[in-house]
Amino acid sequence: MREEFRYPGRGAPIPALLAALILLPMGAAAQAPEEQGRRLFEVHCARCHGLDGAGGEGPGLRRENLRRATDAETLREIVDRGIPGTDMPPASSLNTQEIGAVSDYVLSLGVVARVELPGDPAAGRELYEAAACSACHLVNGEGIAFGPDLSDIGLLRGPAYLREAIEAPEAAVLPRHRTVRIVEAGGAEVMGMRVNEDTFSIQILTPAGEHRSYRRSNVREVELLPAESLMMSYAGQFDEGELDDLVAWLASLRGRDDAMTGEPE
Amino acid sequence: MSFPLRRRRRLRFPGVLAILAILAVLPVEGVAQIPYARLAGSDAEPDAWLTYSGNYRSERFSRLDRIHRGNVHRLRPAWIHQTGTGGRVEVTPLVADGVMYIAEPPSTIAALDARTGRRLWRHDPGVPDETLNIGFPRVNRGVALLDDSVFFGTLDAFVMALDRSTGDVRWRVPLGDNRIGVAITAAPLAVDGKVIVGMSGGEAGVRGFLDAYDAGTGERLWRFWAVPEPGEPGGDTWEGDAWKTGGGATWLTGSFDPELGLLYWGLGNPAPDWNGDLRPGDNLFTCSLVAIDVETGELRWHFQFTPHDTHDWDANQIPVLVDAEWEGSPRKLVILANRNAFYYVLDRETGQFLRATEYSRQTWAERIDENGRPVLIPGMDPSEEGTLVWPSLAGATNWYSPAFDPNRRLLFVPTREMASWYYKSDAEYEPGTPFLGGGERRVVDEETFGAVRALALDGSLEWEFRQLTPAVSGVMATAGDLVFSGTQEGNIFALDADTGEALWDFHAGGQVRAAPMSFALDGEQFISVAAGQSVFTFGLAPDASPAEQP
Repeated sequence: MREEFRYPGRGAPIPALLAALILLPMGAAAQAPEEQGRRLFEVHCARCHGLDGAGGEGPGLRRENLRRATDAETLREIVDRGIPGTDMPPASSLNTQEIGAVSDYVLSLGVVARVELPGDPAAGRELYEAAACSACHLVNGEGIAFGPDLSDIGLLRGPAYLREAIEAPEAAVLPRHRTVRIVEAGGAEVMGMRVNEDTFSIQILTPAGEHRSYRRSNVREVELLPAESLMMSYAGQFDEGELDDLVAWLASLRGRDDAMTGEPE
Repeated sequence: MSFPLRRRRRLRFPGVLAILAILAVLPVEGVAQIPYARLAGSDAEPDAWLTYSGNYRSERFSRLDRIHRGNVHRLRPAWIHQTGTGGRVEVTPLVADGVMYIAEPPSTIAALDARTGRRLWRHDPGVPDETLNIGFPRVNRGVALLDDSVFFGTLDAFVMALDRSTGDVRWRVPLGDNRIGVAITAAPLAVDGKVIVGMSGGEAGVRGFLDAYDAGTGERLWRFWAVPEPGEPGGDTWEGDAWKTGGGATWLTGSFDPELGLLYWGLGNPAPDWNGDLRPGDNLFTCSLVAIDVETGELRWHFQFTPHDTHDWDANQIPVLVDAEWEGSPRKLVILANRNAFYYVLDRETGQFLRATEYSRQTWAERIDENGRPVLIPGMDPSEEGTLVWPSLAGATNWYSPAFDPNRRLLFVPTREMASWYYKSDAEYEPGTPFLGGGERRVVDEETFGAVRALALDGSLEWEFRQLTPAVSGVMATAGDLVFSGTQEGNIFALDADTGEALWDFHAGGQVRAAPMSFALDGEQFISVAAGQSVFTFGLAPDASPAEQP
């Protein structure tokens, strides 16, 4: 009577899912705890938190400090009991040992090693400003918010991903941020980033920063463009050394240095 | 001891007299009971919704037509009840005599004033935190009504009867041992003097059963075992001790034919779910529909949809009873859209297989043969490296109720178009822990979507209403030529029963993991459905355009 689990939404990155398909080992007892934890994470947690823990419908877990799980014991309790009032369910099908293994794995996700990168972050920062990246991205609150906030992108993404996102941004678009082309009833075309949608409506953010909401029944066409990004490709605009610098700058972004001081929610 | 007792009696006496005096002058409906005759004749009383699926045939069809295609656009929330208990609300409310009865997660029962949503009483049975729910969420899908009681099951596997007027406990009996994974999430079915209760726990390797209890006392009258012992009919479809942990949970609410005296109940998957090596054989009566004598609990017939299932395609979906012409002669049928992606027509007197058609994409069976047995496509079992199969683990449909329009003879099926990678691993039975032997990874891509599909009696597709994501909501049809359902994106909507065209929708702000129902009060029709952690009730806003026609 497995009564179906929560559907992960349209957000799961399919190519990544398939690419990351890993053999499910036979028998839990035979595996190393970290391997077991990863496996359990993929089966029970990845639907919402992403296969790599970077987040999806649920929050990203590749952080040094998890907002609710302030220590290992609290994390185990959250895995065990869920978070009432949220979509986080209790892991009622896991035993104590398995809860420990998956919790340890989640903690390990937060340890993102600072690898030595070839580039110069300071030079990268200058390139970032010269290329007007801040016309679409925030870093520590500075810039224009349209594309993803990059303040902690160095924690969330590895250098190879960052390089690809600069040269081939369409490959880096999360499905929930897909580019959408809408043909309005009068024939006008609007491009924007998908913000939300359901069976009857779709909400987009235009490059002008304007939210628009459409009834599907009131427009001529809604087309998802999974192979397009609203971000232009910077392939060929930087030489190898400059790309190294830019990636080094982005990789150095590991959260706001002016630690936010509001009251916890 | 005796003195205070006498004194109390004396003090209460005038009150009792006053109550009796009130009862004597009230009109009959003021103290209405819910005798079995009302349940059996519920079609004549469309203002009420007295059983989980609307009537014993499980049509989930409201015979109210005040809300129709011409005015459904005026449907607006009349009131909202927020459970506030956390967790999913998957209940189908029942309504009788102006009172709505709902279940809040995990096992709390509340009576609401159906006019306003104001609460009349609430009973929390105090389910312990450590209660096991292996393989399903901590939910309760509803109650049963009979005479002056409300019947329900608790997550920790007690069957209870509450007084319908106050919510006070009349009786409470254990159904099974939650420490090994037995639980109750389904709404019971009340029949003449009996309460039929199904159980959950197949994923814990529990041996499934269906119980009947005396409605008045809670005494257990019979138990039907979903998995037979060696030597019993069907016992030879198991090897060794596998039957003892064989699954076959009875976790949804079945149907009832009072004339034949038969209950129709869908049975769950075998355990462990995905590793079939541990349980060679057909594994009867898992993944079967069974017809059970309501008086004795004896098996009259069975039909197994998925022999030796290895994909968790249980057969708990709601069976709908239909009397219709079949190939030239009138026949008592039972129809069911199975989780395995095939729609089936059976003779409900004999269990004879009549027809099966594919209603949703599937890649596991070449066809269903003339006896109703699937002809398997090789290589579709779960594997260590993963096997891609349609439909997904949650199936082409699941517990989300279908609806049957008896006028159009259409079955409306909430459908999931989705594949999964199925994995196989070792499984060792340990009481009170998951007994699974594998898992799934769902495929979510452009080919993944949901639909309400309208199937003719022969299984042919009349229309479909496509949804953005696979269905998780039940469906209700009405005599107003409408079909109501919801989405996991949070939409509640109404379709034209002839065309599937969407005529009305409302965003409830929470997943609709429940089935709609309808009732009427003072001549006004309402639609109720749970979404998120609330129960929404809709009624018609005042008429703005006098030109409206049905």
